[in-house]
Amino acid sequence: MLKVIKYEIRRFLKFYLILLFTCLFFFLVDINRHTVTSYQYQALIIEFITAFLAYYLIIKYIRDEYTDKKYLYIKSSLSPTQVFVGKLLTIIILSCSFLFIMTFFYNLKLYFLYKKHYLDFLRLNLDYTYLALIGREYKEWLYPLHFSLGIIYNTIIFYLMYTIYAKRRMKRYSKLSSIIISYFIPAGIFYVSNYFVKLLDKFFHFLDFSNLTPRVRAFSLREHLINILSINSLIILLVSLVLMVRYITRKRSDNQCEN
Amino acid sequence: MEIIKDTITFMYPDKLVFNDVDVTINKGEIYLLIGRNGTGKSTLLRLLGKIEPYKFKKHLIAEKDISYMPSDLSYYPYMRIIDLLKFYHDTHQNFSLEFAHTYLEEFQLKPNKMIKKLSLGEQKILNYLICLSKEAKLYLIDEPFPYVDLLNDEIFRKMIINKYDEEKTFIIATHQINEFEKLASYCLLIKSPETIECIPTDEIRNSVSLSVEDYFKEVMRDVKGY
Repeated sequence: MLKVIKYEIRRFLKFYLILLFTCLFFFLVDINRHTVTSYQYQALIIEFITAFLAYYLIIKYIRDEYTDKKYLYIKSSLSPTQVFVGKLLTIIILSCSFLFIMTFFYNLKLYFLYKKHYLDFLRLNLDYTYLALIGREYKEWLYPLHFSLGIIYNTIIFYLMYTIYAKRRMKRYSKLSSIIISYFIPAGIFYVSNYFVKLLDKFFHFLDFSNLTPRVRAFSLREHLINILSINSLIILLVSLVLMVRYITRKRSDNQCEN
Repeated sequence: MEIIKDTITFMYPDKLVFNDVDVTINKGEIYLLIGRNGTGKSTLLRLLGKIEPYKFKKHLIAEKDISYMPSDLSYYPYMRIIDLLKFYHDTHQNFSLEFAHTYLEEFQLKPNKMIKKLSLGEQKILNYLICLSKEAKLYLIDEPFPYVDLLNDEIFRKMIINKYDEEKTFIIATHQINEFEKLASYCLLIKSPETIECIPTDEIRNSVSLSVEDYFKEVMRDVKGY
């Protein structure tokens, strides 16, 4: 698996470094302390670019499956699961390292502002800019971690959806049934995990989960929860399941695997 | 000794490729797989190589003992030839770096050359080299010759001779029959979805006054692509 990570990181290293240094260059050059919004939006842009990087890598890997690159690991001594996990870890390592490096330099910039122009720093109003850690308690430094966890979570779910789809197609299930299944399994995981977040919030007060909830709220997980838990969506989910269940086990007509 | 034996039925959603066709592969033989375009040569290789999911009644070769060369294989463009060989050495069991380096010199390929700068012929040579550098029991080679010059053709044959022993089986899908005719012991001719003929090459040479390639040209005139 480490071998996969090594070669896959090398594959994207050039792109990653160009993206990283371009962002750093523009972000560090832009130090006009009077433009309040630039500081607020820079944090947002870091989040967007990190998410873009993760999804770009996923799309690249999915695209590989439809080109000749799919043969690279064929007949190798690595199992398909090892290759899959290796690629997944590559996505996580690259996107999270990008996030942490950018956050570090963003905060370094804020730190100089904090030290030299404290009043301007206060004027920036960075309360809801979660990547801004300067002037906050250490406990609040967990906010960016929430964001990276969110990215990891979404990346895994997204990649899982594709893998379920690909595996089912490999076993010659029809396209429609594969799409339905690949959506329903992650939907179930979303449902359970969101419910779990709510339970943690409710029963484990000692975790002081409320401190972390602004970030959770920023992901609108609570809104997801409300939607998912509402009776209407449950009914829609059940009806769709009943309607679609006949397609789920449908196989392609060319299924010769059963001989 | 038979290593693969089955009656294959296989279809893509819009096309029947094989319909109850008997396939038998023996150990220690070199097969030429011949057929018109679109008759299923590459598909048959993928089935035999367990790349397409298919349950054979008899298939005695383990996954790790199969070496497969697809007709097209693209590598990561950042790699140099040497990186690619290391990649295969790291990720594939029984990959012989020594063998690869020996023939790299013979093909006059520079190890430090970037893969994206290789010509089509050089890429084909590299695919072939990687396929044969792996120690396997079944080699499946799909279209090795397009874009490759005459002198390298000779090295291709030499590599197979060096690699060959009674434990190894080679199946080569090609349109350039002349190149491998002398090496091959059998020709597998895909005539139709229902028929794959297995003809010993010696038999053709002894019974017909034509060369093997001319003989197959005559036979294939009656076979239509489907």
